Amino acid sequence: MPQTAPAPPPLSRLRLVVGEEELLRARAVAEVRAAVRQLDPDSEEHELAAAGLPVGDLADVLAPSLFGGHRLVVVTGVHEAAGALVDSLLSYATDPDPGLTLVLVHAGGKRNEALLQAFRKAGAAEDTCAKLTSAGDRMGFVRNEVRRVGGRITADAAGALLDAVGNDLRALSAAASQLVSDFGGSIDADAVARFHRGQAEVTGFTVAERVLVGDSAGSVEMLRWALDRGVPHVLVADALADGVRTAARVASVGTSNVGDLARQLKMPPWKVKKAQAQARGWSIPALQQAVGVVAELNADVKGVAASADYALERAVRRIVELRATSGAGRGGRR
Amino acid sequence: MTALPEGVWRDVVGQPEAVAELQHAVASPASMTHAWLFTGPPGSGRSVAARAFAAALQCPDGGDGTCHACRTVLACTHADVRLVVPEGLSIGVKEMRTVIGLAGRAPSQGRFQVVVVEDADRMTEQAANALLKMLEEPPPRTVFLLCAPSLHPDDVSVTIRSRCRVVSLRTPPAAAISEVLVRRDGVEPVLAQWSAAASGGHIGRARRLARDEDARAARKAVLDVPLALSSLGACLRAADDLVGTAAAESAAASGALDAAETEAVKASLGVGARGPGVAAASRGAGQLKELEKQQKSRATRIGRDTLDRALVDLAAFYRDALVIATVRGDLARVRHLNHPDRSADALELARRVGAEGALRRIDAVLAARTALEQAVKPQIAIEAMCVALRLPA
Ligand SMILES: Nc1ncnc2c1ncn2[C@@H]1O[C@H](COP(=O)(O)OP(=O)(O)OP(=O)(O)O)[C@@H](O)[C@H]1O
Ligand SMILES: [Mg+2]
Ligand SMILES: [Zn+2]
Repeated sequence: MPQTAPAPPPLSRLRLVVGEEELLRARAVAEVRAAVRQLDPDSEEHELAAAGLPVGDLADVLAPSLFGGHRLVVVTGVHEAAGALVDSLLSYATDPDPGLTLVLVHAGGKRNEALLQAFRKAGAAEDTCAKLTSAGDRMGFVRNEVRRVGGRITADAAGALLDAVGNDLRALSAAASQLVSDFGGSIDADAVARFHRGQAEVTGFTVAERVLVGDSAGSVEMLRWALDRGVPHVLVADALADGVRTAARVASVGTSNVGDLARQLKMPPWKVKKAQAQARGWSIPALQQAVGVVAELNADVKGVAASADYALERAVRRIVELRATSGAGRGGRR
Repeated sequence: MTALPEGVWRDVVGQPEAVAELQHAVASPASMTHAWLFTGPPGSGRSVAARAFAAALQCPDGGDGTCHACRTVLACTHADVRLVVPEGLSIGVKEMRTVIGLAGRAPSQGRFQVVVVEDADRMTEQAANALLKMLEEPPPRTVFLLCAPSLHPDDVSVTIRSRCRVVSLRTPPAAAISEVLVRRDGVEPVLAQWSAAASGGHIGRARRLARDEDARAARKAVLDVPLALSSLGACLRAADDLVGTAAAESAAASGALDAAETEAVKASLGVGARGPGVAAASRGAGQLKELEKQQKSRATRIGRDTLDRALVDLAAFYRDALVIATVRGDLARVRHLNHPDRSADALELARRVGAEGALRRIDAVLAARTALEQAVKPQIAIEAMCVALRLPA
């Protein structure tokens, strides 16, 4: 994680949780809650959303308690707080109750920034939950996630995981704990590669990829695998349509220059390259027929066919067949 | 030409037989019945005919078009006339029950309680069942007027149909459409004739073509498609354009409506500066969610309708090519074209694809319409269509 300063002690009377990253905000709040419960297992807890919150409701939970004990009040989404609510929070901050931890959660940005400033001036502790923008930050996040669940991960494995999963923190966090539970304490690049294959196998896009490159045994096997794991029929059908469309686009433009194609088709270069690989070995007439097959399939999986399983398998076989017989027509008219 | 109908019947254009039958029912109570079913192709004037009939039923003078009763019915403000229109994709049972409840009462001022169900083919099965119960035991002074495209069981259930007297409208002739555009909407006669001829007998469409330049441009873009499909790339681009235009139209049309509705609901809930109490906020969230759902369903419908209109235009254009091909390109022997202003293009198309090719392409367009009804993703259905429409080398 990018935090350089040590996290502030969770029990200060005023706290801010600020930043765009939802997962980090949720965790910061959870940590405070855990600390409060440790201090006082019978603590009184309130969580209120700032948007549309009547000032009276806030006053009720902030009013001095007759029962003693520690209290926790979390106000979420304070960037959406109305003026009157902000005023009442400001006035509370001038004389906060020592037996109460008030946490303001703010999703980052300029709205109600003055409220944050005033809390900072009043000595509020702050958890920063900014978006992780650099690769290094995300790398650190992955390491930390693995550590949280008691494992360790090598640098190249963390990089591979980022490549495979993308930048979504929740997805990364889930992948990290899955990895540790699948492969034990120490994770290397090989484990990530095996893990990724296992994940990829269940998406429609992998089925589409096998189909487009004409792998007849592999595509059917992968299709069954995907269906066994509960990938919805519609998603596989959509992925097939998408694959055929993209290959058709790449094949129908009179250039193989990646940059030109990316510009003309408004696709990122990596997608162009992938599509070019998948378009290889296809003739234009065969692609045209494949466009018809995926359209029919789309109706089939939406209830026209009696068995969506069967419809998918038939479409997969037909498309593979089309490619196999299209060799002769390669480079055919566009 | 026979004498034009008068009063409320004036806008029911090109339907002399239907008008005569309805007038007769108004004039002689013996031939009155409590359930009517108006059928006819879209834009033929089913709703207009049903409303005119409703006005005539309430009017002390059989539909003079000038009295208070006539005017309030036509303005949809008459207390004893209820309109049921689908806002989204369908007419639900909740809406239907409400209306049926009200319709069971005695008329408050008019002579009848009239319920007009426009697009009865869009009733859900439950809504249709609720209506059927009412039709089986009709209150003495309640009249139901249903509108649907045809008598096909997909449009109206056989049981409902069996309880109704059917009034079938035909496709109004271009001359009648152009006449109403000039008379009622003040359209230039030349433009009115052109729009009427290009509308495929759909009055609402003729009106839009006459009054809205964007509608003319959109039609032109659609009719430019067939001769542009010279490569796979061109087919995919054309598909993108057709789908993109429908999406844009849906966004524009619904965007304007959505914002106002959302504001209205928010205002009625008192959401805003002060903020509602907790109970009001949660009730409001529910209402807003419901509204959002309806708005989404309406946006989908507008998009689908736009796409469907394009497909209807395309199929009609290939039909023109087919007709021309069967007379070997001799335009002098062609009596009627769906798109007379594009006869040169239709001739070229006939030359390129021949009669059989035109026929196959009509099938491809109709297949795409069916696919859209089956909820195939528009992009996928339209791409497959455009590829099937590709010109031979
Ligand atoms: N006879 C008519 N005179 C004037 N406008 C008409 C007439 N018929 C249809 N319209 C207009 O055409 C538009 C679309 O008609 P719609 O798609 O509802 O077809 P329709 O249901 O057959 O027509 P209608 O509902 O009038 O029967 C509406 O705006 C409607 O007002
Ligand atoms: Mg109508
Ligand atoms: Zn009258």
